[in-house]
Amino acid sequence: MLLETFVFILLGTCAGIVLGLIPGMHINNILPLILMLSFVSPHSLAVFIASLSVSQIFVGYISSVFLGAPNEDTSLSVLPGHRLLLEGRGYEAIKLVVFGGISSVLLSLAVIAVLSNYFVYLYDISRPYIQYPILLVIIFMIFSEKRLKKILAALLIVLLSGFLGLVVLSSSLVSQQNSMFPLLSGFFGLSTLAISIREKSRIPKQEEDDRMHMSTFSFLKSVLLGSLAGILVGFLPAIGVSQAATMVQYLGGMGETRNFLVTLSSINTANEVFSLSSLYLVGNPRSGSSVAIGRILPELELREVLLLVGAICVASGIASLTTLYLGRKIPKLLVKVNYTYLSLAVMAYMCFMIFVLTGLYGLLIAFTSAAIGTLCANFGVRRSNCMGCLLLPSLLFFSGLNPLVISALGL
Amino acid sequence: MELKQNIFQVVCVVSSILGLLLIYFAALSTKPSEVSISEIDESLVGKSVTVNGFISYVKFHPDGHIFITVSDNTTKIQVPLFSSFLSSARIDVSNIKVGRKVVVSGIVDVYKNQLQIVPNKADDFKVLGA
Repeated sequence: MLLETFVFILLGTCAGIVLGLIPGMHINNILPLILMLSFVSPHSLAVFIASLSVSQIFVGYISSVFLGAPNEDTSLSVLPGHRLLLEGRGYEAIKLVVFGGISSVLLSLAVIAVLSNYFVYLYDISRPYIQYPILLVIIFMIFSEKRLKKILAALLIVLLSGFLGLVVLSSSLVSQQNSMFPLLSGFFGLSTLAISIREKSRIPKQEEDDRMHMSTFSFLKSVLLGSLAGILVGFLPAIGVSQAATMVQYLGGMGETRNFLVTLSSINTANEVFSLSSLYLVGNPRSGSSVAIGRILPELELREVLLLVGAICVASGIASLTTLYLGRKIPKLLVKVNYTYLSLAVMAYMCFMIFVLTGLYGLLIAFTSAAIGTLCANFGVRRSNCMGCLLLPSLLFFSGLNPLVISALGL
Repeated sequence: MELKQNIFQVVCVVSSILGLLLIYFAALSTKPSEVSISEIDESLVGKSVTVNGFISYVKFHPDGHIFITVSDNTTKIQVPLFSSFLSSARIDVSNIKVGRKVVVSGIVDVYKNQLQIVPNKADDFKVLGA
C-alpha cells in the first residue's frame, strides 16, 4: 500500500512536470482521460491527481516566464516574469515563484488546519461585501495611471475587456471549462509575444547573480497575503486566482514585480491546496481536480485527507527542485536562439491549442483579447487593466446586477 | 516610425471593436448550454445554462414570487420565479404544479449556500406538461 502510494505520487509528479512544460495545458484538459484509468485503485488515482495538480502549477511558470505562453493559472506571471527575463534575471523570476509557492503550501496547510471550523462562517460574513473591494480595485486600477489621458485610456481598456469577459463568460460560445484559456492567453500571452516580435526583442545574457532581490519581510508579507487570498478564492464563487491576484496587487500594495510574482504563486498553490482540502472541510469540491477526487473517493475520511496532504507536500518538493533546475538551464539555451522566430513558433502553437480546445470562437476571442492587450502597450497603460474581463463580471455578480445586465444585453 | 506606431494603434482599435462585435452577435445567436442538473456546480456560477426536469416542489410567496424545485431522476435545483419575471414573461401561474415537466434557462447563482438557476427572459421558463 505504502509503496504503491509513493509510486503514484512520483507518477503524478512526473505527469505534472510534463503537463506544466506544455504551454497552455492545464490539468482540467486531461482529467476525463485520468478518470478512465479504472484499473487503478481509488486511493492511488486520488494521490496521482493531487500530485499532478500541484506539480503542474510549479513547472507551468517555466513556459509562462520564458516563452510568454501561460496556462490559465499562470497568465498574470507572463508580464513581470518576462520583464525580469529581459533584464537578465529570468532565473530570479523562477526562484521567486518557486519559493513563494512552496512556502505557501506549508503556510496554507497551517492556516487551513487552524481555521477549518470557521470557513462556513467566513463565507457567510464576507459574501455580502465582496463587491466593494472589487469596485475599489477597479477604481484604483484606472486612477493609478495618474495622467488624465492615460486614465481615460485605462477606462476604455477596462470597459472593452469587461464587456468581452461578460459576453464570453455568460454565453456558450466556448465550453465553460476552457472559457478563460483564450481570454487570458490573448490578453497576457499572445499580446506579449506580438509586442516582442514587433520590437524584435532579444533575450540578453542572463546574470550570474541568482539572489532574490527582495527583503525577507516583503517576501513573507507576499506569501502571507497570497496564501490568505488563495484560500479566500477557494470558498468564494465567481472569484478566481487572477481576480484575487489583481485585488492583492492594488489593495495589498503588491504591485512591485518581485512582490507580485511571489504573491501570485502563493495564491495559486494555496488555492489548489484549499480546493483539495475543501472536499473534506466543507464537502464541496472547488476545482477540477477536487471534483475528480470527489468522484473517486465520495466518502473522504481524515486519513485519506492526510494521504492527499502528504502527496501535495512530496509533489511540491520534487516539482520545486525540477523547476529550479529547468529555470537555470533554459535561459542559457534561449540566449542562443532567435527569439523572434521562437515567439512566432510559440504564437502558432498557442493558436493551435486554443483552436483544439475551444474551436473557432475561441480563436476569435483570443485575437480580440490580444488586440486589446496590445492596445495597452500602445496607450502606455498597464496591461493589468485587462483584468476588467474578470473583475467587471464578478462585480456585477456580487452586486446582484448580473441577471439584469445579461438580460439587457440579450444574452 | 511615428506613422507605423499610429497605424499599429488604429489596427488594434479596429480589431478590438470588430472582434467584440462579432463575439457579441455570435453569443446572441447561441443558446445556453444544456446540462443535466447533476452537472451544475460552483464552477458554473454566473453562467447561463438550460436544464430539463420536472417540478418537485412549489411554494407561493405572499409578494407574488414563486419558488420551485426542479428535479431530474437523481438531483434537484432551486428555481426562483420572481414576480417581476412572472409578469414580464406572462407566465400562466396555474400551470406551475408539482409533476409538470419544465425546461429552465437562466444564470446559475448561489443563495444561502444553495445553487439556483435564475430565469430572466420570457422564453427562459417553459412548462411542457405532466
